[in-house]
Amino acid sequence: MTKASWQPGRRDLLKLASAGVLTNASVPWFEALATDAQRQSGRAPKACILLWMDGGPSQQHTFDPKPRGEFGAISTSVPGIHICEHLPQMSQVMDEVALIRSMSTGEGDHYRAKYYLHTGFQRVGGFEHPAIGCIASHENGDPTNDLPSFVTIDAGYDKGNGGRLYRSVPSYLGARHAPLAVRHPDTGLENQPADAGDVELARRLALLARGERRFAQQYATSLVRQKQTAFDRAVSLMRSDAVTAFDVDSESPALRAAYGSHRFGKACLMARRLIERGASFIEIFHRGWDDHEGAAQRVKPRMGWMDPAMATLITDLKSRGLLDRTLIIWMGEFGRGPINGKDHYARAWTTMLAGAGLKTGQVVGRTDEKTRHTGGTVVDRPVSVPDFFATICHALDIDPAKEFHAAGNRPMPIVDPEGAAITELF
Amino acid sequence: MLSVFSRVAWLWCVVPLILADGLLAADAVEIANRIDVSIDAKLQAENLGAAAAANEAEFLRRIYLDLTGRIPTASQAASYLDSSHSNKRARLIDELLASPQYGEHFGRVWRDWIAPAELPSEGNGGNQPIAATRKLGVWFAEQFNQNEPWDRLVYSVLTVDGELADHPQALFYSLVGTDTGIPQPAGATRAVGTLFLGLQLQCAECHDDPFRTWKQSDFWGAAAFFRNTEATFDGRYFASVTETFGKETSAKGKRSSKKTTRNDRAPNGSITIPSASFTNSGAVIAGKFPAGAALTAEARQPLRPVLAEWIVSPENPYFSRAFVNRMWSYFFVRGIVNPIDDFRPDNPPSHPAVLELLAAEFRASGFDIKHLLRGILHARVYQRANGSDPEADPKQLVKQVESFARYPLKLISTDMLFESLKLALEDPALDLRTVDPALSSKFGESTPIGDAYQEFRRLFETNEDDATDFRHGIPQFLALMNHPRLSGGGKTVERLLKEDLEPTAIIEQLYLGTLSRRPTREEADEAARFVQESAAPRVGYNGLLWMLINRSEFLLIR
Repeated sequence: MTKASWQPGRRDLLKLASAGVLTNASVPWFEALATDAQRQSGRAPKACILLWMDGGPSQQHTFDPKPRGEFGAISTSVPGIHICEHLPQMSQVMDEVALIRSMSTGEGDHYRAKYYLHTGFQRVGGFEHPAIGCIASHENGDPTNDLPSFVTIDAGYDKGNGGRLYRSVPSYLGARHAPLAVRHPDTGLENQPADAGDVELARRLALLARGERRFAQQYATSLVRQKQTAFDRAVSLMRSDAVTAFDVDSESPALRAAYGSHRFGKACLMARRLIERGASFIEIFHRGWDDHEGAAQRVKPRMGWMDPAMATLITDLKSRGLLDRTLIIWMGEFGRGPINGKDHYARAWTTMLAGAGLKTGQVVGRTDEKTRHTGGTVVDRPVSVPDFFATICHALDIDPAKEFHAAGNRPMPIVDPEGAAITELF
Repeated sequence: MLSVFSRVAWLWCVVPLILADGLLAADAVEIANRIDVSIDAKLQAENLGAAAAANEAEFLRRIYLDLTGRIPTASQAASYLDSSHSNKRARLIDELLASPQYGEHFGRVWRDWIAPAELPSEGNGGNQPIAATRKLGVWFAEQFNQNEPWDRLVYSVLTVDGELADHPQALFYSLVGTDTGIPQPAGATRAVGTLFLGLQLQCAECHDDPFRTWKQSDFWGAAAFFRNTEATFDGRYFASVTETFGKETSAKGKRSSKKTTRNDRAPNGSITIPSASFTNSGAVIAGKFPAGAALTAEARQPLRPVLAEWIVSPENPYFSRAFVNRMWSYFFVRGIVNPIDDFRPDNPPSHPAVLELLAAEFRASGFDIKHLLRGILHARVYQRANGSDPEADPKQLVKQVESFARYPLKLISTDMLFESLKLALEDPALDLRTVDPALSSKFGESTPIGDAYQEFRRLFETNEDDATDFRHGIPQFLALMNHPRLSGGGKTVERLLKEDLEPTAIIEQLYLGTLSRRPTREEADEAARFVQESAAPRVGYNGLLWMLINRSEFLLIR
C-alpha cells in the first residue's frame, strides 16, 4: 500500500534521489515530479482492472438471463436482480456490482469493435487513438513508482475464434504509457535477471554508469536524459521488491484456491497485487468467446473459473480496502444474439462494473422481454460507447473533456464530447 | 498541361517559382556548396554560430546508419578510420549508395511511411499484414537499388493494376482505404496528398478546411480520380487493384468482403460524397486536380493515369518539393517545411532557396534519388557535429539544431537497432522470442509471434516520424539488459577469444564493432581493469560487450 499514494514519503524521496543508477546523481526530472506530487492532495488515484472477454460474451448466458433462455436465472444478494444460474459466487456479491444491460454500440465487426471499446472512438484510417489503459496510465499513473502503471495479462484462450487481439497503443501519449505485457501469469515479468543482486550485473552497471556520465556531459540533450531515466527505471524495477507483485505464488494457498487454478484466476490475483503496488490499469484478456456454434455449451464450463475468480477479486479487494478506489470492468467488444448467442450482437448487450465507489447493487438499462427475439432490443436507457467511456473516466476521476494534441497539433479530447456519464452510478 | 499549373502559381508567391528548369544537373559538390552558402547566410544573419564538423568516427557511424540502416562492422569501421585517402567521405557516400543495404533500408523506411507499423495489431494479420507489407518493402528496395527515378516509381504505384503477387505496389491502395470505414477514394486521396504532394487534404474530407484553402469540393474533386478504383484485400496475402466502372469484378481471395467497390451513379469524372462524410453527403462533385484545373473525363476512361501524369510531371510544383522536403526531414528530423506534408502559403519554408535549389536539381536530374542524396550528404550541413561542451546554453543548442547549424542527435529506428545488434553480436539469426516458437500454436497458450523480426519490432517500436522522440521504456531495457541472447556476449566474444589477440586489441575490436570508434584512453584503461578483475576473460569481455550495447551512444545516431 505504501506506493499507492501520490504523496511520496521521505523514504520514497530518498529512494528517488538515489535512483540515478547511470548518472549516480540526483535526477532533476525526478525531483521536480516528486515535488509536484507532494503538492497534490493526498487522495490516491483510482485504479482499474479490465476483464476483457475477447470475441464477445453472450449476455443472456451471463448477466442478462431471460425467462425462456437456455440457462436458468438465480436470485442474488440484491432483491430483484437475477443473473445466470452458473454464476453462484457472483450472485453473492451483486451488491458490489452494477450491470449495464443496455449497451448499444452498433459495431459488429470484431476488430473494429475491439478498437472502439478500447479507445472510445471508431477506428479511422491514418490515425491511432490511445487505449483507455494508456490514458489511465497517463492521467492516474505515478511516475515515481518503480512499477509501470499499465500492465496487460494474457489469461489464455479456449478456442481460436474472434479474430486478432487488440493491443493497447499509447499513440500521442508516448511510449511510457505503453502496457507492460505479461504473457502468462506463471512466467510473470519477462527478462528479469536470474539474480538482480548478482555481483557481475552490478559490476556491469557500474562500468556502464561511468561511460554514461561522460556521454551525458558531452550530449546534454533531453534524448540522452530520457534514455538514462528510462534505463534507471528498468534497473530500479529489476532491483525493487515491486517485481514480487508479478509472483502470485507467495499468496496463501487458501486465497490462491479461492481465485482458482485457471490462468484467469491467477491473472486476477496478479492484478490485485499490481494494484496494491500502485499500478493504474490492468487488462486481463481471455480469448475465445466468439461462440458461433451457440453459447450454452461453450459458456457453461467457462463459468467454472470465471465465477470464483471474479467474485474473489471483488471480495479480496474489498477486504484490503482497495475496492473503493479500484474499478472492475467485465466486457467484450459486443454481446451475442438473443437466445442462443450464435451471432455478434452490438445493439443490446451487457457490461459489468464494480468498485470505485460507484452506486452498485443496481442495474442500468433494460432489454425487452418479448416472446420472439427476447432481449434483442434496448427498451430503457441505451448506453453508447462515448457514454460508457465518459462513465469509466468519471469513475476513475479522469476529466473526459481534457484535450491532448495529436500529430499535426490536432486537439483530441479523451472522450467523444457526445458521451455523457451514467449519472445513476455516481 | 501548363494551364493546370498556372492556376497554382499563387501557392508559390512566397518563393520564386522555377518552373522551367533551365539548369542542368550539377555535381554533388556544387549542390552541396550551394546548400551550405544558403544555410550559412541565414545563420550569419541570425548571428547563430554553427557546430564544428563531425569527426571521422561520427561521420562514419552516422552515414552507415542513415544510408544503410545499420552500423559498420568492426573491420569496416577500422578500414575507414585508418584510410588516409583525402576524399574518403565522398568515397564512402558513393560506396554506401551503391550497396544493396541502401535500397533495403529505404525500402523499409517507405514501407513504414506507407503502412505505419501498427504493432499492437500485428499478431494475427488483419489489415496490417506483415507478409504483404514486407513484400512492399522489398519491392521498394529493388526500385531504390536500381535507382529508379522517383517520377517513374510513383507513377507505377499510382497506376498499378493487378494482384499483390505480381505487383507488390498494389498494396498501396489496399492499405490506404480498405477496412478503415473510409471509402477507398478518400483514403487514396489523403495518402497521395501526404506522401507524394506534401499536401494535407484530409481535413477537407468532411468540411471546408478552416486552416487551409482547401474546400470540401477540392478534396472530393481529387477523390474523383479514384472513384472507379477497386482495391481488395483479404487481410493477409491477397490484394488487388483494378478499375471497375460500376460493374463489380469478381475478386478471388478468401474474404472478398473487404472490397471497396462503390456504386456511384454520378458520371465518370465526378464523385458523390458518401454518407460517412458528415456534411454535404450525396452532393455530386466534379473531378478536379488538387488546387488545379477541372477534370474532363469520358465514360469508362481510366482516371488514375490522368492524375498520375499530373502528379509526376516536372511542371507540378508539389511533387519534387514534397520528396526533397521529406528526405531532408529524414536526415535532419525537421523539414524545410513543417509538418512535412503541409505545404501552403501560410506555412512558408524556413529555407526557401535550399528547397527550390534541391527541387529544381531533382527535376533537372530526371528525379534521380541518389543524385539528390549525394548533394545533401556532401554538404557541411550534414557533416556537422552534435556534441557540445557541458557549458553550452541548451536553448542555443536546440536553436542550432532547428536551424541546421548542428546535426540532431537521433534515436536509431527499430530496424536499425535490429540490424546493428545482429552485427555487434555476430548473430545474424538474432531472435528474442522468449516463448518457444515451436510451442506457440496459432491460438496456443502463448500469444503467437510470427518470427524474430516481428518480435523485435513488437519490443522496440520507435517513432518513424520523429527520431528525436525517445520511445524506449522498462520492457525494452529489461530485454536489452537481461535477455540471454543479448547479454551473453554473442559469437563476437567467442571469435575474438579464438583469434588469440592481446586484451587491448580485443577491447578495441569490441568498441569498433558497437560504437564504430576506438576507445579513448580512459575507456581502454577502464575496460582493461574490468576484464582483469573478472572471474575469467570471457566473463569480462561479455560484460564489456553488454556495456557497449547498453550505452546511449549505441542507441543513438550522433
